[in-house]
Amino acid sequence: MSQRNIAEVKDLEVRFYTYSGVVEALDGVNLAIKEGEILGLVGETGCGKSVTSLSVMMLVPPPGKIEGGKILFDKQGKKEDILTMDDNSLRGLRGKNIAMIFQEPRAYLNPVYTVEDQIAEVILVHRRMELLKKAVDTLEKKHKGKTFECGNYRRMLKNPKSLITRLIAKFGSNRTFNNEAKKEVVQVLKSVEIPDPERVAQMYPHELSGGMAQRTLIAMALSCNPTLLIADEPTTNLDVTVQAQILNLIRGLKQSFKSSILYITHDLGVVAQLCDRVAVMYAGNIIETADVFELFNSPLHPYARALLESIPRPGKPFTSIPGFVPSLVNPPKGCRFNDRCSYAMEVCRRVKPVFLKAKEEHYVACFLYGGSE
Amino acid sequence: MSQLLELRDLKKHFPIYGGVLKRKVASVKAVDGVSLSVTKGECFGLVGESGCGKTTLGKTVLRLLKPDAGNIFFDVPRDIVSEIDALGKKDPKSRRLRRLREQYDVATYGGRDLQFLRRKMQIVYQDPTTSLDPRMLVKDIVAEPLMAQGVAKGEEAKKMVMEILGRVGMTDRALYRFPHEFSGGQRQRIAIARALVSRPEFVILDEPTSAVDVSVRAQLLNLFADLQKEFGLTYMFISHDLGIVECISHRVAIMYVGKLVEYSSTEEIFRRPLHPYSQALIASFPVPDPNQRKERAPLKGEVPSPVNPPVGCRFHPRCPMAMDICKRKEPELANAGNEHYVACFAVNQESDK
Repeated sequence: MSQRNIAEVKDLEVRFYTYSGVVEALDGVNLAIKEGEILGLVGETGCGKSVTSLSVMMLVPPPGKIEGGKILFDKQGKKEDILTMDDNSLRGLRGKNIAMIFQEPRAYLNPVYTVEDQIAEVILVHRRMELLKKAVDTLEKKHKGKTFECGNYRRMLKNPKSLITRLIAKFGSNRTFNNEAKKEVVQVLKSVEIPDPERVAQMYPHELSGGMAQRTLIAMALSCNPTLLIADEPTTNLDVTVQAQILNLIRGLKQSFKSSILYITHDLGVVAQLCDRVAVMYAGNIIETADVFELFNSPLHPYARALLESIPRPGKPFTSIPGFVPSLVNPPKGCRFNDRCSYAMEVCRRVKPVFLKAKEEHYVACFLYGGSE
Repeated sequence: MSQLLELRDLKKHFPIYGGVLKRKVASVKAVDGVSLSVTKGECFGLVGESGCGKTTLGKTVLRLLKPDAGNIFFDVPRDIVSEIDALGKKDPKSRRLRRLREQYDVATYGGRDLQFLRRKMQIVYQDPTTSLDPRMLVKDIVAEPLMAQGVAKGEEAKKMVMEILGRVGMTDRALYRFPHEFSGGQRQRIAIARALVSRPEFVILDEPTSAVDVSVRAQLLNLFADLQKEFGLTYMFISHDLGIVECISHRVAIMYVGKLVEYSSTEEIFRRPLHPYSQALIASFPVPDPNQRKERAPLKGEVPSPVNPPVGCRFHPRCPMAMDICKRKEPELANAGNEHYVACFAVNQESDK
């Protein structure tokens, strides 16, 4: 496969400066998301999955700091480092090129605005020009474009940044323009298979069920047709039958919108059902990436193997990983898994293993598979 | 095999008050007529989606909630259960029935009786961060049931606490610490120790592993299995994770909006689910194997509200096999052969023929 990489995370380091010490949340994370694929990011609680995804959006909350590495994002064939962007270009990127879905949908919807208002906001910010053109078209069809409103829109299209057009946009009558946005909202709601989208658009978040709220959030994320969609445990709080519906939806969206998806989860079942490729994380490191079939059939890293074996299967005794996830304030030296690993060698306690190619499209960070000091 | 727990048509409705006078306007029918029996020494799995009433059922069995109707028999001889059943049908107002129920039916218990009962029945909750008092030391948390039930105190209680903590895999160092000093898995162990310290016979496990990570989950499940063997415990395992239930339970009941739709042995349920809801639920479960991908969501729509459940079979608006009768009559649990109970007209008709 020689697909283009949509986003590349290189040697990313994130630290949180807390009162109880410096938490080394990410310690040199390497990740590449290819065009049109669903990449699963798996790991236990606190291993840095969410921090990785927030870094891609430059949204790491204080006291966290991104302290090293690069995040290259492919923007129309041109690779740009997100970490060096200024606020203005970041604002253009977030929501438009990279969108995100969160775990707790109702916590991310504003309770005092209707669904329509909230989705329209995204569209009005990022797809202004497109909407203006559409509004002009409708007015031309209706009144042959001779109204005052249409003139305003034309002026906005021609010179969007001048003071006078900005004033008109803010204080003038923009009814047709706003109506276009509302039409767009209904379209987006329809694409995430919400029944009766016109009615749902007028609802407030508390009127929606969990599944519907999650669909709304997905609709919001998709409203600008992003190149990269980050889904941070979007089905964890949902029921199995609703989860199956949402997974199906995401699968369909990958085909219809052609977005790449970074799917973060701790549920290996969901990964097996949905993802094309998987990256396994442990204590701030990515320890293995491989094709989903490859990973489930022949995992290499001892942690990945133990994780897959800890899935309960009928007729087999439960196997667990001995010990606990290490504290990231004082992580173990060398390989961070060494104190729980049954294959640990002397070198593992001293040197951090590098990420090496073990097979075609299968990378692993472990001394068992080569690499030396 | 003797029955440890029997439920007969158990109901728990929560009133909703509204209007100017704050009168009762409706009720949430959380548990609406559940009958089942749990055999001594087994692990009984209770599965369902959120809001279907699994936890309410568990709490009602423990009498943390007072049921609105129905009987709960805990460790009652068979002949008395059948006498109460017979009297209930024949002569529901008889004095004999009232006397018997006061003596044997947990649903009517109060005060002292409940205190004795809880020595034998305990519960482990879903989230140990909220079920353990943050301002109590672990030694006090675990000793509390002993004090409350008057089993032991002082040195004796401390000895029992240390013994049970050792049994669930905690060291004596834990005694003088607070719950926040432990990880999620360890906290859940403390909660288990608290439930087991008074040596109960029956333990309700209310989603005990849904708040912990995959690797810790396996440790806890192993612990449950070991403790069951060692103390001869009977479990009621409430969960929405079908993967775990399939591994740990001997028998499984599937609940939907306050009612049981199907119950049978684990083998039967997972190999040969009969009720369309069970089939959909099992099909929706994401199997951790990329070779078994399911590309279609088997079920449309969402769980109806238990305030106004659909008339007739509660599943009929989402059911692919819904018939005319499903919209009018509520199906009863009936044996479809091989101790496999299903509440569905489509299935029961076939087995009648």
